[in-house]
Formats: sequence, C-alpha cells, structure tokens
Amino acid sequence: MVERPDTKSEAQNRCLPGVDPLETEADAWFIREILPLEASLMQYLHHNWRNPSEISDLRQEVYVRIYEAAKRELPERPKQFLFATARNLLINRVRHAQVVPIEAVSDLEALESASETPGPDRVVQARDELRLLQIALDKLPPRWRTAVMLQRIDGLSRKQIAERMGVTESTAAKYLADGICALAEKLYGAPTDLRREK
Amino acid sequence: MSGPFFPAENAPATPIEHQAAQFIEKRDCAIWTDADQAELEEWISSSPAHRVAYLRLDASWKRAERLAALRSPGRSWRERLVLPVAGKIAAALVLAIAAGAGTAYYVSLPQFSAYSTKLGERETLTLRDGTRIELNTDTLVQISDDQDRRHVRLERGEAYFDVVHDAAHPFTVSVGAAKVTDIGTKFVVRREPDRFSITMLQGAARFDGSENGTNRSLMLRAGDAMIASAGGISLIKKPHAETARETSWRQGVLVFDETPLSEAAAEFNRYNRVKIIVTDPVAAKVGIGGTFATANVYGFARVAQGLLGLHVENHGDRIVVTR
Repeated sequence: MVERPDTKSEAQNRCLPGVDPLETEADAWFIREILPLEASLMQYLHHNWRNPSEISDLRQEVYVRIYEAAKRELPERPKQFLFATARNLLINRVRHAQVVPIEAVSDLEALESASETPGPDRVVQARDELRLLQIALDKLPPRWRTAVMLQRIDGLSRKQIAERMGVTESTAAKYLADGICALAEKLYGAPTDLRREK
Repeated sequence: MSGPFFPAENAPATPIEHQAAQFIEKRDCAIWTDADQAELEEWISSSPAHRVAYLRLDASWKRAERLAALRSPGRSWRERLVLPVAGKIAAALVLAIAAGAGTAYYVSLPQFSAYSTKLGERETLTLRDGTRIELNTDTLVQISDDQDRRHVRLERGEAYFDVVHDAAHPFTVSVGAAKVTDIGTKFVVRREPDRFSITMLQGAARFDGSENGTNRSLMLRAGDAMIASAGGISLIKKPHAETARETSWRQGVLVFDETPLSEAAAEFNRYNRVKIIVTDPVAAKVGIGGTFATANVYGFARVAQGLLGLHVENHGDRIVVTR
C-alpha cells in the first residue's frame, strides 16, 4: 500500500505537504521551453563535438548556464538562447583546453560562423503521448525496461520489483535509477519521428 | 561530422544525473521520510547542476506516469513483459476498457515492510496515498506492501495516523488481534507491554477487539480515548486540551499539568537512555507542570530540585529523585 500508484494527483505523490521549493518560475520555464528542445540540442552537440563521452557533460553545462540566466530573467527566445549558449560553450571549451585533440571539434571556424539555430525540428509534436512513451521504453535495455514497466505501469515497489525479477533490492534500485536516466535520454534526447516508428 | 547523424547509443548519464535518479527512485519506489526530503532539498539547492538534473529526470519520470493507462486486468504481468511494447497499446487499452478500470489483478500474499525508530527518535512516513504516519520514540510498525490493502501493524511504541480516507480501501491499524479501521481520521495508537490505547483527535474510526473472550466493536469519535488491557476495555471522553497534551511528542516536547512525578518520569524514560527513578512514595505523588523537550532530562531534574524542593542525585545513567 505504500506504493499505491496515484496517477490522479501528482502533487500528492511528491510526498510532502507545504510549498514545493522547486516550483519557481525558472523551473517551470525550463521544463516547458527547454527540455522539449533537447533532441535538437543533442543533435547539435553530436554534430559539433567528436568525443561522444563528453556529450552529456556538455548538455549539463548548457542547462546550468541556461538555468542561471533564466533565474535572473526569462529569455524571450528560448530556442535561440539555447543554441547560442551551446555554441559559446563549445567555443570556450576548445579555446581553454590545455590540450586540444585535433578532432575534438569538427571545425571551430565553421562553428563560429554557423547560424545560431539548427534547421527544422526533427521532433514531431506529441499527439500521442502514450505512444511516445512506449517508443522510448522500447529503446531501453531489457532489464531497465522491465523495472521501469513494473514501476510505472503496475505501480510496484522496489521490493516487489526485486522479487518479480529475482534480484536483490539494491539491484532493483539500480535498474530503476538507471531506467530513470535512460528514459529521460530517450524521451527528451533522442529524436522521435512517429511516422517512421512502426 | 561523418558517420551516422545521430548515434544509436546515447551518451551515458553523468554522475550528477545518477544521484538525482537515486533520489527519485527512493522517493517513488520505497519509503520516503522527512529526513529524505530534507536531504533532497539540500542537494538540489547546493548546485544549479543538481537542480537542472533533477528537473529533467523528474519531468520525464512524471510523464511516464501515463503508462499506468496500460494496466490491463486480463493479463498477467508475465504475459505483458514478454510482449513487445510498441504496437500493443491499442489492444491493451481496449482490453482495459472491456474489463473495467481499477480491477485488482495481482494475487499475492500480504507482505510487510518494517519501519522503526530508536529510543528518543521520531520519524514521519508519508505513504503514496498521502497518509502520514508519525512514529514516536522506540516504535516499530509493519506496513503492508499490498497496493490494495492499506494495513499497518503497530508492533511496539506509539504512532500518530493522519489517514487519507478512501472508502474502497479502508485503512486499518492492528495491535495484536485488535484493529482500528479509519472512517476519515486522525488518531494516535500507543502500545505498551500490557495494554494499548487509541486516542481519536479528529473524525471517526471503528474498533474491533475482544474483551474477556467476547468480541467487541466500538465506534470511536473525536475526543474519545480508549484503553484496552487484560482487565477490559474502558472508553472515556477527553477534553481537547488533554488530547493535545498527550500528542505534544509530535512537536518533540512533553507537556505536564499537575502530573504526578512518577507518571512524568515514566514519560521521560520512554525517550532517554538516562532514566529518572522515583522510588519515594510521597515524592512520586508530587504534581509537576511545564513543557520540556523530550530529551531534556536534566531540565526536568532541575525543576524537581529547584521548584519542588526534592532531593536529586545524579548516578550517570540514573537520576534518583527522593524527598
């Protein structure tokens, strides 16, 4: 019963009464305006930075800069602001690096002269949220997917998931935490074209 | 850049994202205490990188709550797991509609998870349905894992329950063979070796137990205090001031009002390793008043000595009060 799923009231799910300290204007703006652009941002970063293992750090750094700016004043054109921030970050990284691997950035000059925003969005508007979620789930590694499904679809607890999957509770907790990260990656970071996903 | 436009394997999560995910996992998949919440808030406010990682993962995880629409009463979880997910949505939805939503479909034995406090500790548990349970000192509860059966066993100590009422899923607290079933309620249950008590602060609840081998069922209402022991069951009405005093532990204090010293000492001893011993029968009856932090044994001893004129000896783990 501790794990009774409650899809009706997300607010209550967030567990404690009183004012949610996270509910500031900047938070809402970030979730509403910036996260939906993540697929485009990731495309941009992958296109302009050769070392894939650094991409998630770069994304994190871009988000921190965006968020810090939004706390002072909400940028009027979120998309332009996001890509200008990403571009400046990449340029600074190359300039300030002690050792710049020759292939670290595809072409600094091209980057500096590039237009601030990439081409048309590849993100198809989510007419069917459930379908997008399913597609994202399908892209997860099997064990993480199973744990996430048992939690989000069936509302099971960590303990129950451990029993169903025949693993220890700490392993189940790990699958779930990894699944939470991977789900965000697939939902926000990967371009989803519903027309091509059959 | 040459090669695929977008790599098949996305970048792995950063260490900060992993930390945020661990908080979210614990909050939504296990028990989440006030201390956990405070830790999360502290973590989030300590760095903007923490904050954006949390916002991003929490937003996507909340979106995934919609997946609950795929619950299908007619299928077992095993069947569902082996099905490829995409492409089965329409079928699953039709099935869910045909079978009616909200049907329980798990057949599982009741399982419980234990939550406890040590001597002098307090802890608040918030269940997924919004119900709050505050554990007083030295308390052990077992909470049912079953999502359709809201059941808590009080094994030891004392707990305050603020129950979110749900007529379809009654909330039950059991003490041994006796049980209290909520009908929209705030109440305190306290278990001692030889007896237990239920104090109703708000709303109503039903009590089912036995008295001298006979089953008893009682309706309890706000202000009712019920005490059950081997000698039988007694029910008295208490004024608000008295029930408020008895639940002051929720604020971490003990409130006395002309309380006999022996009773006050027994209350303190529930919270502290250092015990107050009152053996003298006259001193035991002296009334004491005031508000003390539950851990403030020495403040209490000073009042006994200074204001009541009693003799107090400190023996390390015992404080002995005599005339």
